Amino acid sequence: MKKILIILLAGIIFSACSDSWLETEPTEKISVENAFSTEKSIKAAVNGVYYVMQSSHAYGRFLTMMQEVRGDDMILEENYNWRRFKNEYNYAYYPASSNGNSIYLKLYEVIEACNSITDAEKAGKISLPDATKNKYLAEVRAARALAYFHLVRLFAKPYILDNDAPGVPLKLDSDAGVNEGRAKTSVVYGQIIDDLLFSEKYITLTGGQGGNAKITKAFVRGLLGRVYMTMGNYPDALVWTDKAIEDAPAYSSDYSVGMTEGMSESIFEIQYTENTFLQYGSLQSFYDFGYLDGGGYGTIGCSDDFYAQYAPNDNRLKSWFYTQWAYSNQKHYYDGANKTTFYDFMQSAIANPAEYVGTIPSSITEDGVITPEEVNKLVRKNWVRSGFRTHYSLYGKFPRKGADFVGYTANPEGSTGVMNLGHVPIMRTSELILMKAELEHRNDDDGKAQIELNKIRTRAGVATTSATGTALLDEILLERRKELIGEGFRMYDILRLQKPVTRSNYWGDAKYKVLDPTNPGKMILPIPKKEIDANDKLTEADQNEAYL
Amino acid sequence: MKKLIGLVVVFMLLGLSSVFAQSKTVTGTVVDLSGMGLPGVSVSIKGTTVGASTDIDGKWSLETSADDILEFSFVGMKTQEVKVGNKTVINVTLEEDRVAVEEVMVVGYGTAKKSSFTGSASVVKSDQIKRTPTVSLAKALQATSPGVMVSSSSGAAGADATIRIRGIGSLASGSDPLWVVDGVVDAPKPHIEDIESMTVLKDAAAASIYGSRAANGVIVVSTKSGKVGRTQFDFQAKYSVSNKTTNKFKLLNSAEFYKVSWDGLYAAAIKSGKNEADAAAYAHANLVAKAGKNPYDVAQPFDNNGNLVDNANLMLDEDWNDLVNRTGVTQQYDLSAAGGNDKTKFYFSLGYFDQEGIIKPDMYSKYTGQVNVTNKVSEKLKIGFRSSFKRTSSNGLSGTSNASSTGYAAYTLPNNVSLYELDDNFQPVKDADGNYKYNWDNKVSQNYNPIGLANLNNYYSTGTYFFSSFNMNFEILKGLVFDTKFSGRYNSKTTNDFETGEYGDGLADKGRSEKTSYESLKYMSSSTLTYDKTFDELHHVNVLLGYEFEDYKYKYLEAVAKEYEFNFSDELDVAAKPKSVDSDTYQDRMIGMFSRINYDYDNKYYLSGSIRRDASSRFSPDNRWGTFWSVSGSWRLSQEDFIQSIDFIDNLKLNASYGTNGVAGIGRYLYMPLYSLGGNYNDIAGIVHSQLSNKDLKWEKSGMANVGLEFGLFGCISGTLEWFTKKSEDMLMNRPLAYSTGWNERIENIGAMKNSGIEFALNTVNIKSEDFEWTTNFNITFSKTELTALSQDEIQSPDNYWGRVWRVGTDPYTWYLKEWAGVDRETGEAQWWKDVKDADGNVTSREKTKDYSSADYYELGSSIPDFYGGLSNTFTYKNFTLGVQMNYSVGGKIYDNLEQTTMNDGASFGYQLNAKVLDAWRPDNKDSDIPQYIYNNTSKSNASSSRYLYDGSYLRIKNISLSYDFDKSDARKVGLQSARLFVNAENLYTFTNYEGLDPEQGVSGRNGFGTIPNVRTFTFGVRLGF
Repeated sequence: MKKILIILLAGIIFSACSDSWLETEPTEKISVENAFSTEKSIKAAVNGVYYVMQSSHAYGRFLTMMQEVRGDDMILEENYNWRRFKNEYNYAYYPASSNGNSIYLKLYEVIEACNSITDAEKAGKISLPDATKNKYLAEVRAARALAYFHLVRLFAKPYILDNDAPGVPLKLDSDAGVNEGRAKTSVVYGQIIDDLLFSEKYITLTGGQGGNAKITKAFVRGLLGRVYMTMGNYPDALVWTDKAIEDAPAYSSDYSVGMTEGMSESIFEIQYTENTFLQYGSLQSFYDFGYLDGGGYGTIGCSDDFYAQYAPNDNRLKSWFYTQWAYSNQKHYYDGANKTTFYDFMQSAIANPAEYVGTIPSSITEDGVITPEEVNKLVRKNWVRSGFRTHYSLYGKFPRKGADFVGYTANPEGSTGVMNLGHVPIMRTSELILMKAELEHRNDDDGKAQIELNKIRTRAGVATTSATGTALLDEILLERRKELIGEGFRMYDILRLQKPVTRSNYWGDAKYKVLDPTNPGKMILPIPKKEIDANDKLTEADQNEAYL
Repeated sequence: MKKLIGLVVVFMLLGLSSVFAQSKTVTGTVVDLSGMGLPGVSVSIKGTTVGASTDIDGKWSLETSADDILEFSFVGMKTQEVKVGNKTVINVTLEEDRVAVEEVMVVGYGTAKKSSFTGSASVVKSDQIKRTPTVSLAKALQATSPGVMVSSSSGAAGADATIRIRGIGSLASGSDPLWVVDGVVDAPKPHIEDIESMTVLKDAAAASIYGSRAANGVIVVSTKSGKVGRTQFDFQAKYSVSNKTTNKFKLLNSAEFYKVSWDGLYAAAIKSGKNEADAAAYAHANLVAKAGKNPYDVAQPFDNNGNLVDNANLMLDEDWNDLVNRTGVTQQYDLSAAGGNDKTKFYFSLGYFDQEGIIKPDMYSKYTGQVNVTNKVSEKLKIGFRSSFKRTSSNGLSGTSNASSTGYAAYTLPNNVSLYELDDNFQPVKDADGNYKYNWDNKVSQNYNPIGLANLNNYYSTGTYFFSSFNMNFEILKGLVFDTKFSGRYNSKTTNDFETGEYGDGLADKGRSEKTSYESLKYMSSSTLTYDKTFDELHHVNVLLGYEFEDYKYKYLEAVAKEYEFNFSDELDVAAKPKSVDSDTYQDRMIGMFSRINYDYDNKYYLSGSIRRDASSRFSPDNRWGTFWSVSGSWRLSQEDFIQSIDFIDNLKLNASYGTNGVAGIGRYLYMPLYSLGGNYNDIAGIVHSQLSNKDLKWEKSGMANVGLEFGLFGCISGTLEWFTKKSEDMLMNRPLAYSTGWNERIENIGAMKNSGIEFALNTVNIKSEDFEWTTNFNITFSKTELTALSQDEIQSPDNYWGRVWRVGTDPYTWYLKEWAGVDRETGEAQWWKDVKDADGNVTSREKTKDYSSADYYELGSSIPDFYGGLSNTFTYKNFTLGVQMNYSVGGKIYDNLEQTTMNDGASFGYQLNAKVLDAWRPDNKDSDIPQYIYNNTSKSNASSSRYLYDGSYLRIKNISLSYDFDKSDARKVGLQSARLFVNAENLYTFTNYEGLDPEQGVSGRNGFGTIPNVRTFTFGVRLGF
């Protein structure tokens, strides 16, 4: 009995005594060896690059918001904005605290995702035929170029102002143990072009329906155009813009569809689905003032003054800014005593303004005095504004996905769609046309420039132009603002064009009412403090001037 | 030797007397304290082998003579001697041998006599624990032991406290001590009523036997066991009421709020260049839009100078603090039974605890059960079984800084926000069913009314916990014992969150229900072989060899559905659409081998050494094993002749130890380079590089030296004085990586830290007489923490948002903030300090700045107190016992987030405000250090800075308890063995200069808003034994 007992106990004790017993494996992750083993896994790894790009801190919201909120066409809502992007609006960020820091990290995460694939290729871990392999590498290197293009414009002096200035660290491998210092702007641009030329050579994806969720040949070409244009190399920019237009989808004939569900002219957009969308963290949420029905924050929109720049019959006013549809879907407008749908409220206010003198908050006029005439004016104004707010919502341009949205012909009884779900445009044909217009002018062919500009104007339903010279350029650049508003181009353009601008209806710190890109200061974001602290190639002295 | 001679003489005398004495038969009964007959008691004539033993009813009879002395002895009971004399009936009541219990303390893998223990440990007995009204073991330890910092920062129902033993052991891997229950590592903490004692093992020598998990100290808990004798039942009922501890924190009423808001708008308009008349018009026009509902019955309650007009009557003053607060009620009922005979002993208990927190709808309840049985199979083999069960449920979202949280509402919603929708006459509006309609309109978070939401939403969770441990103890040879335990722990928890689609968070999904469930199973085996022998009556050796392993598996499942048309049901299939699903599984395993040798000579000199090797699946195969060891010794000076000659010294003992321990609280699979699945884009599968490889990851180690002196003087003073220093090395920390590598950080063994301190405890018996006794226990701990190595000169701690920096030579809890420089008395603007530098970048002086972004960061003290401790006094008068327990903490700094929110100077216009704002700077009140309250304040005066940093020193009357024990004879009259009535008051009063909610905030030092602070609790209870 005793013996049996002892044997039994010894068995219990030593049964587990082996090192292999301690091997445990995670269930949601795989090892490096398995990540590049098959074409299927390479494909998934490339898809992983887009996964990083779609994050809220990259293309999902931050990149676009950062450019618009610091510019002159859009304003940040004073109320109800939950104070998001207020520091950006007021230029009150600093190296330890800036939304730019998360953009910086996220873009380098995109680059790391690309680098880990190019490294695997260099190490011979990808055993696929060259054509297959290069097809994926083309996508990867274009994504890397796009990330560097954003970084160098956000965190370094404009190329056109000083191409010898420190750019950003140029990290081209995935060895986290090795740091890079700030490469010169010209070197960073050189790498971007190198990546894009490689990509252009091997990319197989072409544009069109369904292709616009990923990097395509048209996008790579268009991006080359953008890059050269930013560098001030207009001839090369025009060459690539032309090539891009060749490959790009034709531009849409009207504005009836917003940017949400894939405009037919979309070349590349970050797409979201009901499984991947960012909810309140999405770009849509910041444009859609749907708080009455639990929609977005509606933090930012077009300023009064810029709205006035559109001709009254401009189709874009009706489709992009026309928010009657949105209000009809909102549950109610609450005037302090009664609840009614916003649509009904507006209808009856217009019909009988005198009755509504007391129900409109007097705070929305400067003097606080409301007359029936005032009511009528206000109601019409607010009809297209986001309620009683200080900006014009771009809801029509960035509507909810699945919404019963057919532009200005909409029936106000549409379905609400999925709140805060929508795609984020990166490039579309209209931009290429406007680029071509600008580049033709810069290459001294105003005739061709007019043709391109007038394509956009005709679609907008406004008068065509016959201007030439500087007047034409000004018209092209204004058209560019009108057409691309809200898509995240504005700050880059201000820096590129090197002309001071005054911010309309700006309510923040007076120091930033006028932006002078010839002395960009805080228009260049600070290199994150954590980067300087942790990077052995950087010291405090490597910080951008405005933050020293 | 003297003793021996004495014994022989007595023996001889007794022998002689028995020859001459007249013999007679004496009978009697032996009972225990409860009056039950004790079977098997040995009754013998002292000095002879003549004797008898009691029968089943405790009866005995014996032939004896008048000169005999009878000895009644029984295992676990105090031996009694009775002279026979002329008695023929001798009834004896045996008492439990408590002295023996007190001298033995439960330590790692066994017990030790207190006198022989070479390490540093504090023992807390159930008597001390019983006084506290909480069921949190951590809270019960508060103020009881030096070197043990217990901070209870939450008064939420069922909330626990954090324990830090001798400073901060680790940065990334947690600083919580290891809990060992009845010999099982990391077993669930038992119900407080089932606890016999808790031993806090503080130094490395005491804890090192637990090796890789012991660097933060170990708390060894033992539960109650059965007792030989009649089965004793014990019933206790407690009822407590709780409310807020008074504090100096005051908010505005609606009249004040509205006036301050008007002034803020007016000031903003003046600042923007408007003349006075236009500014007043602007303020009138914007007041409702910016500050919310007008609480007065006139449309324009202020004149152009901002004074209240004569005919304005205040109609609305909703105090959200009152609305969400209530009197918390706690009920607790416990029933236990303990008994047994010399072969089998048992302890059973059942408990029920139910607490309604002071903030609606906070709730926590639990059922507990415990079964402890031991059985002596033979003289050599003993088996035991311990099992516990717990079922918990909780409800409410009240302690978070979330707009749907009632706790948050209490401090953010101003008093002009009504609970119910009001009509033009400020009367609540009813809906079609006759119920009041909640008001969803406010300027803080539109569509949120936390009380309304509390009625529509549900945050309900339940937990089920099973634990069983089977124990076998076999004496192979005399002195050689084999002991093995096999135990299993099963935890499962489910949460059900339902959020209505009409208002609040659920709006975004048109109603949402989230259900999560996790379960974990852990099994552990631990076996030891102990050899204990005394040679030549002088050399005592105890050798322990042990082996253990454990396996832990965790599974998680979550499902969320959205679009709920109705609020009737939160079931997932009721929803219109699924939203998301998630699941996760992980596992870890470990193996440990250990040995300890204790040697003592003549009860004077003690030496102990231990070694342990642990391996964990969390590390790569190359770094899996870690070795931890300790040596310690003590010298009982009081056993030496030269000390024994000093009358007033009862006990004097010197301890010294050094040892190493580890911390294993790191994540799983961290050493592997990994790609994550699930990095999907556009609904196509993707994989993402998610973890850098770090094969070098190894055990975090700490080495601690301890020197202690234990003393007892004059028969009434005892105490300990100890010094320790602990160096933690290879500390796992996130090394910040340059963002340009694409990584934020990577966990590496890079940090080192030093904790050192002095602890002193003093226990005195001040007065002791027949009826009255007064004892005092005092303890104090001075402790310092300092970083000694980092990966780089400076690391902004991961939560830099909260203003910390890590730098070599500083305390890791050092505040690193912009320093507040007060208000510009002329303009009312906020100011901060900034450095003035010369051409070489050296700081020459400093100056004030109004630009927040250009202000510099400064180290502004630590949130760790300089010293802390407890003081308790116990008075016993006849059947009354009065205990007064206090705790104190001096020197830690608290960041008051609540004040930051409520003193935003107009940056969050429309939010509730601190009453201090009434004294803010105004053109007619220039002598103020609070910036001007101004609409849409962009000065960043409310951004993180030392403006909200305060000294958090306090002295708190933690607990006053008064109990009355009925005389046993009185109790018996009503069929009881014992009866006690008690009342107690917790957190009765706090002496502090801190003006926030509660100065007791723990090492993090952040007084968040939304959290439920500690509460004041009055408890009434009765305990009956039968």
